[in-house]
Amino acid sequence: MRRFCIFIFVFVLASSLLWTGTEEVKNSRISISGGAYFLRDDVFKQVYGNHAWIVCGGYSYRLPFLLKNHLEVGVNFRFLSDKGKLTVTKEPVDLVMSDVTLTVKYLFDLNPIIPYAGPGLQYIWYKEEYPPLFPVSSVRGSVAGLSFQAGCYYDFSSSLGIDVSVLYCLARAEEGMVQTDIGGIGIKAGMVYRFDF
Amino acid sequence: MKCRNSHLLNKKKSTLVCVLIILVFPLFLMGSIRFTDVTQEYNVAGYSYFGGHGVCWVDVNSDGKLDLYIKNEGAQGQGIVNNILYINYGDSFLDEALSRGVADAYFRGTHGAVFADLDSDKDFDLFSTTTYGGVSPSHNHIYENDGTGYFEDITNQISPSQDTDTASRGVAAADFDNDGDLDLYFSNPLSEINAMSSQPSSPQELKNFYMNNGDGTFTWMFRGIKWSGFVQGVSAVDIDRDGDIDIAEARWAPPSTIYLNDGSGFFYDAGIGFGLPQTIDVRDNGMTFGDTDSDGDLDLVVIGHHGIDLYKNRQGIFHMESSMSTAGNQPSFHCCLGDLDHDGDLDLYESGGYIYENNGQGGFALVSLNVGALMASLNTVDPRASALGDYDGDGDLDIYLTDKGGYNVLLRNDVDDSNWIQIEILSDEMGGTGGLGAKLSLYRTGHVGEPGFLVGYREITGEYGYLAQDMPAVHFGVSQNSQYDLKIEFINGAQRTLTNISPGQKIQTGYILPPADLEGERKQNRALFYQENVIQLTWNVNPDNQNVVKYRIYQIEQWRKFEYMDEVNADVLVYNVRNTSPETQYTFAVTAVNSSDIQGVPAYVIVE
Repeated sequence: MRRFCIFIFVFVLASSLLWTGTEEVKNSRISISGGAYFLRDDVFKQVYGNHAWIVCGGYSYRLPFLLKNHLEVGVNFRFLSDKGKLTVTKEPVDLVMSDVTLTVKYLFDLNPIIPYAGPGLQYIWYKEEYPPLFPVSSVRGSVAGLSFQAGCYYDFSSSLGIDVSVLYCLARAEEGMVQTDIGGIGIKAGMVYRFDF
Repeated sequence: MKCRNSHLLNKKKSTLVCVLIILVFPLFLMGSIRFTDVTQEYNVAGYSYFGGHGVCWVDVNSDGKLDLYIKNEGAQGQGIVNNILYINYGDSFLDEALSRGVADAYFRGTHGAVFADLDSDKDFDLFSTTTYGGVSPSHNHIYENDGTGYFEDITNQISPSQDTDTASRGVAAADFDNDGDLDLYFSNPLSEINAMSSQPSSPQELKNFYMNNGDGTFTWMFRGIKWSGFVQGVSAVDIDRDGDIDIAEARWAPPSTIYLNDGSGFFYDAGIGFGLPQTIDVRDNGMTFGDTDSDGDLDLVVIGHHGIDLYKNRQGIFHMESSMSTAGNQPSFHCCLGDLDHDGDLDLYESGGYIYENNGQGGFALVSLNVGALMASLNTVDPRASALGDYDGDGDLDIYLTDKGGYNVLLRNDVDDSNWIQIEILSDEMGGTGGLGAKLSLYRTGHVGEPGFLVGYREITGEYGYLAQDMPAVHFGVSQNSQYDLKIEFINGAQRTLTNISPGQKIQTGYILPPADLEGERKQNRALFYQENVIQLTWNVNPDNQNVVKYRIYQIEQWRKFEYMDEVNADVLVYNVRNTSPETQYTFAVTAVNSSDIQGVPAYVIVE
């Protein structure tokens, strides 16, 4: 899967060198959105439930010289905070995860709906805090991952729009003897503001 | 000169034994009660300077095997005299009195001692006296057991501190004042006992009780038992069946007597009212109580210089039933009552003498005994105490016999059947172990409380007769193919009934029973990025328990050494032991605790 994502990422970059666009568009978007993140890990489901709520933000820039303005690169930030219970003792634990994702999206301009899809590189920070009787008080760490994102913009004015997307993440953390699959699927929706930069 | 006399005496005894063997040899071969002298096999003969006096069968290290504590009085010329604590290792015994802190070394040794759970922590502590021989200080000692059979001297917890020498003989442990802890009584609370006097002295009000304050301290006080002459053995049982523990004293110049408890731990002399003879200078050495006729009350055997007298209890009055001769020319000191042949009644063994078999109605007849055992018993030079205990765990009662003038003797009972039931009270109404004062009545199944179906009646006591303490478990001889119900009456009046008991088993029970179905399961207490190895203990409510308000959880470091971990409310039936090692085997115990903070019998679980 990791190889597949890298392949897609390289493919989009390469193809962007072949096509150029001439249409005048506002080239920047900032977005703020919220949604849910569904981790694959079974322990996550036992401790925190099926999903965690996420808050996301991002900036993306439509490259003017590639793929007839169909290519967009961006930086997205995602924040996750959840409270759960240890599997046996049912004591409370707190989880905070955040990540930064560098994305490349290929846009299909079907104004006003603009579907997109593309891969990304993630860097994820996590922190989990434990109750007093637990052997450790907290765990902090970070790990790199890959993602693939698909969604669409809907521009209902020249500056504002909405963004709905699905994010598929691949990442695995290791703390001591414990390996955790922190990948999963995120679904988010939010507002987008377009401007020229 | 003394040695020579003793040699001559031995010779006479040996001659007597030979004559007996020749006359009744066929009977010896057919003997229904068979013992084997295993003293050498187990290396439990005592010290070469002899001096054996009292003896206690007790499991000091809580390993399920009976250990032996022997109280030695030093021979003349002997310096410091150590007591012996033979730890039972199954195939052998090893004297560890010194290393375990109960050698009680004193110039003239020890007479009386009793093991009892004084601090209700489910092990046997020790109260030990010293034998005044003109050397001060001669003070009594209390030793606290740490749960593994190692003792700490806590004598300084007695207040006021001892300021007089004592020449104590018999002692007793019981909850005399019914306040939920065990108190201590000791005889002869003075040094000048003038044992050889033929006349009682004027009664003296001397402090002879250590009353337990329940907080690990004891108050030394007078509680109504006046000293009027030399006291030998002391027994503490509920003689008048009024629910409190009374005291009987075997005495020399003054007549032996019974002190009744008024219910609050004060005593008054009631010997005359009980029908005991008022003859002075009879020199009784021990008073042993037991239900010899299986009618549900305690009869009395008095043993001393005059022989062995059997008193039957009839409506609360003791009536002299018969006298039995003793085995040699030496005065007799002690006899014990136990069902030695598993025929359902109490037989009698005279220390250093014969066995008398009960005919089922409380009458005793000298029985044939196999030659080796008879010789071992009769060959003792100056026998003192003997105590009954199942040291080898085969269900029958073995005998340990002390000898002041020779080596002690261990007689193994070879009855070898499963016609027995043993009851061990692991947790009594005080939360401690042993069940001192509890009354146990065994009935044919389905007939609890019906006198016609009573099989046997026992009362748990500490030291009795002359300085002897039997094993803490109660023993009944029963029929093989029957089932039985058992009624236990605790000293506070509470009762517990166990039904459908089959022979051939030792039952461990208590005032509060263990929680049911205790299990331990290893689990991983997972968070997303870390995990903890926990052991989850789960149990169920025992339906026979009432007023349970919480459960206490212990880790067992060594077998039955309780390390307190935590407690949970009664509605919580699960406990997670945190941060355990997956490679380590753990043992845990859970006890139920009632609203009076009395803790019950533990349930154990081993987690591999």
